[in-house]
This record gives sequence, structure tokens and C-alpha cells, in this order.
Amino acid sequence: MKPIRTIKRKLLVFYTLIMMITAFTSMYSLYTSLRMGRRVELLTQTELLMRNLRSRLGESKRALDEFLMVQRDEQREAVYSNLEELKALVAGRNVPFRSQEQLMVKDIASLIEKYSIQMGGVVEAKAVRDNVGYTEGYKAAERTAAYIDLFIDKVLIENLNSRTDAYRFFSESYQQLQLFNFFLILVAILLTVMLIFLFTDNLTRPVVKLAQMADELSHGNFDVEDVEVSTPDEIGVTARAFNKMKASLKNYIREVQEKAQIEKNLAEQRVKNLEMQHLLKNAEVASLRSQMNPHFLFNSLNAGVQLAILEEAERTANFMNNLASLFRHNVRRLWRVNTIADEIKGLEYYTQLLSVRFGDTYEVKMEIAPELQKLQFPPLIFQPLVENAIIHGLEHSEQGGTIRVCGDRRDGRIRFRVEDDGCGFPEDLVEQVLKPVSFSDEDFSVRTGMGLRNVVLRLRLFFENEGIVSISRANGGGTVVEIVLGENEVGYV
Amino acid sequence: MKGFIAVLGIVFLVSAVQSVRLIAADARAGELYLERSEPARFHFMVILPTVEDDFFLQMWEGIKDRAEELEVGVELQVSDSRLDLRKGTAELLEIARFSQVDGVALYVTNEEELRPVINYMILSGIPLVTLESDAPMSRRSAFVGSNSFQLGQEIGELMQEAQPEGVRAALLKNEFFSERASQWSVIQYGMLASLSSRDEDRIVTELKSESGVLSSEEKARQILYLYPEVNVIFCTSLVDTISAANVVAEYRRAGEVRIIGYGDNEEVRRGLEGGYIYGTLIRNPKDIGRSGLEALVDLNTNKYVPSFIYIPVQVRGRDRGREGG
Repeated sequence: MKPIRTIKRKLLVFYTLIMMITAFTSMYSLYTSLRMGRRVELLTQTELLMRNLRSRLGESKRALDEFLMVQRDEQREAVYSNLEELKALVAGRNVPFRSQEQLMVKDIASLIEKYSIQMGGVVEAKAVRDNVGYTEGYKAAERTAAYIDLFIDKVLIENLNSRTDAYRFFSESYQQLQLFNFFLILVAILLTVMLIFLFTDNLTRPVVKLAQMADELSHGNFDVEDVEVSTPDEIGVTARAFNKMKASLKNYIREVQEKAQIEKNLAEQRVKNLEMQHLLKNAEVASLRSQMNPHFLFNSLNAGVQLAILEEAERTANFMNNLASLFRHNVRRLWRVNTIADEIKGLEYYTQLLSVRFGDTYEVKMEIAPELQKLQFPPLIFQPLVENAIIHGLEHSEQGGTIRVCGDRRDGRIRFRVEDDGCGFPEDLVEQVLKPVSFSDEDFSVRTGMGLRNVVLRLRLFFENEGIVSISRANGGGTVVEIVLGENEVGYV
Repeated sequence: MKGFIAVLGIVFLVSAVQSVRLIAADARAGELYLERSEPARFHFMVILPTVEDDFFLQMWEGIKDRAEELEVGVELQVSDSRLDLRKGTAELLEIARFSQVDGVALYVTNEEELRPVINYMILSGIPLVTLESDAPMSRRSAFVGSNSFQLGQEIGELMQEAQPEGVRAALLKNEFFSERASQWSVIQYGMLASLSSRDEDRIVTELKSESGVLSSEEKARQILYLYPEVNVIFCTSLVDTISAANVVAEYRRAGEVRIIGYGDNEEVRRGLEGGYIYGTLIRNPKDIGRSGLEALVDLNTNKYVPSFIYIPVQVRGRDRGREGG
């Protein structure tokens, strides 16, 4: 933004103002003094003129007397020369003015003209030896000289009177003017000092503020308040630019901090991804391992089924066939999308195997709502849970037990429960199973054999929800494993 | 601080303006003292016998005022004490002629002696106006002043009013009137014209007073002492009027001897109020001066100027006031 009033202009105005104040007071003093001097000169001018006239008049008369005595050209020239000088003294004064003194000076000028003519007549009459003429002329010239002399006196008296009055007036007037002059100088000095103080303060205060703010900024304090400079000059522009710069810096630093935070989050995400990759890798390894065993077992079981049919052992053939179906089901699910329906199918195979092994010792009840059939679900969840319920809850029970696998939708949430009526799950084992997942977790290792832990971890990773699984004791004394899903967490095929 | 500076600034500005005004006022006043006046249209010379007398002073004031209005230069010349009073006037007229003035206003002190000089002035092309005191036999351009005959009549009538039983008048004539025999004669004719209407009225004596209070009082005493029958004293100047009134009061003859004066001032008015002065003839010297100057200007601008320009005379008594002349 271009400044409206630049410092240069301000300085120019200021110095001009100060100069004008000083010049005015000085000029006023000078003028009053000069005028007084001029007045004194004017007052004495007339007196000087009269004195010169009187002196020259006397000399002209002496020159004429000398000429009349010796009648030489030299004296004649002296007469004319004196007359010319006399006339020169009053040259230009033969005009009327409205003052008494000047009118009398005009009279003198006219009388001198007359006197000059009369003197010339005397000289000429003497030259031609006209004795009567020169005598009469001489008398007339003398009379005129007496008139001039008389009027010089009158002018001097008039001048003295006017000078006396004038001196009284000028003296009083000069005293008044000087007194006023003193007052004016005093006011001018005060005004100048105050103006200098104000101007200096106006000019330096914003600069000091700016310096203080710059110091604060240099110490990293961007929360200082803006510099308030309202002047429309370069300092104002600098202050506003400085405020903008401070705000820009503050914004820039905040953006950098946000970016750093994002990068940090990204790094954490990368770690998670790595963890996921690690888990997937582990899962892949486990899968490959499991594929090796199931394929071998699957082929072997098929051979067993055929052998049992050849030997006409129908129950064995049926058992072996179910076992083979279970393995086939489990293996096939590794490379396609798994649903609840698939889980139920697998669980049915497993249940039939159980019934062959244990007869009616264990009963598995499945109560899954039909609308959940096509819900996407990680594979091999319900089977390990049921297996776990038999191993930890019902294995030591003489009369066996019942395992219920339920699934329904209530209050906007989808709940799956695997509940047994066995002896219950040990508390310490529950804690171990539900502990948070970590990169170094070795529970994925197939070597651990901890199927439940594996199920919990896979569910957490699949639905990205740490609290998805809960294990609690059932009312009848058994264990309840509950999987709770939000509607927004699930997908359907 | 800004407020203080603003106040100082205003004070300075006001002072600056005031200083300029002071200088301007001082310059205007100073002009009068430095005599650096404006050029004048004409140069006139006014020759008066004195300016110490109130009458002539007022006449000069009238001339000066009118000169200011008409923008002309007027030079006052008083017959110089170093010169003879009469010759002084003649010499001043000669100086005026040498100076080639545009006109002269003159109070004629001695007509006979001045007549040739006046005539020579007219022949030289310089207009000359006589003020109050005329030189009727000369070739002067115009006369400005009172009508002497009518003035005499006014005086006679006033005397008759003052003394209905019969007027026995003494005339105290001052030196200026003494020099103006013809004018005085005309006044006397006018006076006698009024007094002749009653047989018992007469003029007992006529005395000449010199300038100054002492001379006036001495003459007044002389009248009362030498002419006890006198019951009216007519004075021809302000000084004579006041002096005569004082003397009459001193002799306790205020009711008996009436004073008819000449001129107007505070003393005369007091005398009128107190009954010491019966009446006074008031000429208007200012108007005479103004009209005289106007006549000179008109003569220089080729306008018609009558030979006689009469300025009315006011007659004032304790219970009366009217214009005459």
C-alpha cells in the first residue's frame, strides 16, 4: 500500500511550518525596526533639504556678488552652476500635494525658479552694462531670496511641529510594536518547541513499537498484539506490513505443525499396515501349512471313504465323508469371500463329525437369523469357538452339554453368541485371549495352537474393532463368547 | 499536548493577524506624521490674519475639511509677525503669484493697500476669493461671508429689543474691523437703518479695541466710566464680548447695560443663560471657509461663481434663536 502522507512530505510540512513561524517573527521584528529607521530618515529628510537649500542659496548669492565685482566667466559659471544645483535640490517638487509642508516646499521650488530667472537677468544686465536693470533685478532677486528664506523657516517650523508630534507617536507606536513583538516571539518559541516535541514523538513512537515487536518475534513469540499505527505514512505501511508478516509467519508455522502431525499419523498408519502385512504373512504361512495338511488329509480321507465303501462299513464311510467335506469346506474358503452361511455350513460338517465321535454327548444348536446369511464374515470363527467350548467347557463333563450358536439383529447391532453350559472359561485365560493385538504377538503362530486367541485377533483385524469380542460367564455356569457388530461395520455379498 | 499546541497555534495566528493589523493601523496613522499625502488637484493659498482667534480657527477648519473632501491642497499662511501685518499679506500674495498657485482665499485686512495687489493677482490669472472681509472695489473673483448691511440691521433690531425704552449704544470695534473701514461702514449703515425707526435710539460712541483680554476690558471700563448713559454695548469679537460682560457684571450694571456680542462659545452661552449677555450674532466661519474653497475650485473648473456668496448669520438670545444676514 502506497503511503498517503510520506515521511518526506511530513518533514517538509514540519520544517516549512517552523520556518514560516520563525520567518514571520523575524520579519516582523526586522520590519518594525526598518520602518522606524525609515521614518526617522523621512522625518529628517525635509530638514536636510531645507538646510541644503539655505546653504546653496547663500553660495549662489556670494557667487553673484563675486561676479558683479570681477565679471569673469569663471564667476558667471559659478553663478549658473549654483543656480542649477539649487534647482536640482527641488527638482520634481513643483507639484501640489495635500499637505501643508509639501505645498510650502512647492512654493520654495517655484520661488527658486523665479530667483533663478531673476539672477540670470542680473548677470545678463551686468554683462551689457545695464546698470538700472541689474540694480532693479538684484533687488528683486534679493527679495525673492528673502521669500525663500522665509519659507524655509516656515517649512522648518512646520517640520519641527510635525516631527515633535511624529516622534511622540512613533515612540509610543514603536514601544507597542516591540512589546507585541516580544509576545509574538515568546509564543513562537513555545509553539516551535511543542511542535518539535510532538513531531519527534509521533515519528519515533511507532518505530519504538516496531522494534519491541521485532524483538518479541525474534524470540519466537508470535502471540504479541499487532502494532497499532494509524499514521498513513511509511511507518504506518511498515507497521501494517509487519503485522501481516507476523500473521503469515504464524500461519506458516501452524501449517508446518499440522503437516508434521499428519506425517506422524501417516507413519503410525504405516506401522499398522506393516503389522497387518505381518499378520497377513503369518496367516498366509498358516494357510499354506494348513493347506498342506488338509490336502493330504483330504486325499487320504477320500481313499478311506472308498475303502470303507468296499469293505461295506457304511458308518465309517459316512464319518470319513463328513470329515473330508469339512476339510474341503475349510480349504475352499481360503480363496473366496466367506459369509455366515458358509460358517454355518462348515459348523454343520463339524457337528456331524462330533456326533460320530461322541454320539449325543454334545448338542450344537444353531439359531442364526436368516437375514444374516449373506453377511461377510472371516472364515473359521464359529468352528474353533465350538471346539474351544467342548475342549475347555464340556470335555470334563460326564453328561456332556449343549452349545448354542446364535445370531440376530437387535437395537441396530448384530450379535453372535457361542454359549455353552459347561464349567466355564478360566479367568486368566480370558485375559490372555482378549489382550490387545501387537506386532510381536506370536499368538498367530500356528505352533501355539491357541485357536481362540487366533479367532479374536482375526475378528479384530477384519472389523478393525478392538472391542468386538467379549467373553463372559453364562447364567447357567458356562461360557459366552459374544461378537457384537455395528451396522456400519458389516458388509453383505 | 495536542490541545495545548492547538491553543498556542491559535494564539500565534491571532497574534500574527493582530500584528499585521497593528502595522497597518500604525502605517495609516504614521502617514499623517510623515506628510506623505496624496497629490492634490489644485494648490490654493489661504491668507488669514491669525488662527489664534476662534473665528479664524473655525474658518480654517472648514477650509481644511472641504479640501480633504475635494482632494485639493490648501496652504495656510498667516501674516508673519516679522512682517508688517498689511505688507505681510501683500508679500504673501506676491509669493502666491510667484508660486503660481491655483487660487487664493483672503481675509482682507486693508482694502486700500491690498487692492492693487489683488488686481495684479487677477491679471496674472490667479483667482482670488475674499472671506468675510471684502475688498469690493478690487477685481476679486468673489466674496464669501455675511451680508454686512443685513448684519447691521440684525444688530440694530437686537439693540431695540434689548432696550425698548431707547437705545444708547457703544460700539466696541476690534482691530480687524478697524482695518476694514468699508465693511464696517456698511454694517453701521444697516444698524442705523434699524435704529432710525425710533427717535430715542442713538449710537453714543465707538471705540477700537486691540487684541487681547486686557485691551477689551479696559475699553469696556472706559465706556462705563466715560459714558454712563450707555445701555447697550455691541462687541465685534468673542474676546470683547466676554470681557465686556465681565466688566458690566463687575460694576453691577448687568440688568441696566445690555451686551450684544459677536461669536459663540461656552462662555458666551453661559453669559446668555445668566443674563449677562443679551444676545449674540453668530457667524458661521466653517461654512464661510467651506464655501470659499468651493468657490475657488469652481473658478478653476470654469463653473459659474456669483460675486457675492452670503452665509447666513444666526442671532441668538436667551429666549430666541433665528437666522438672519
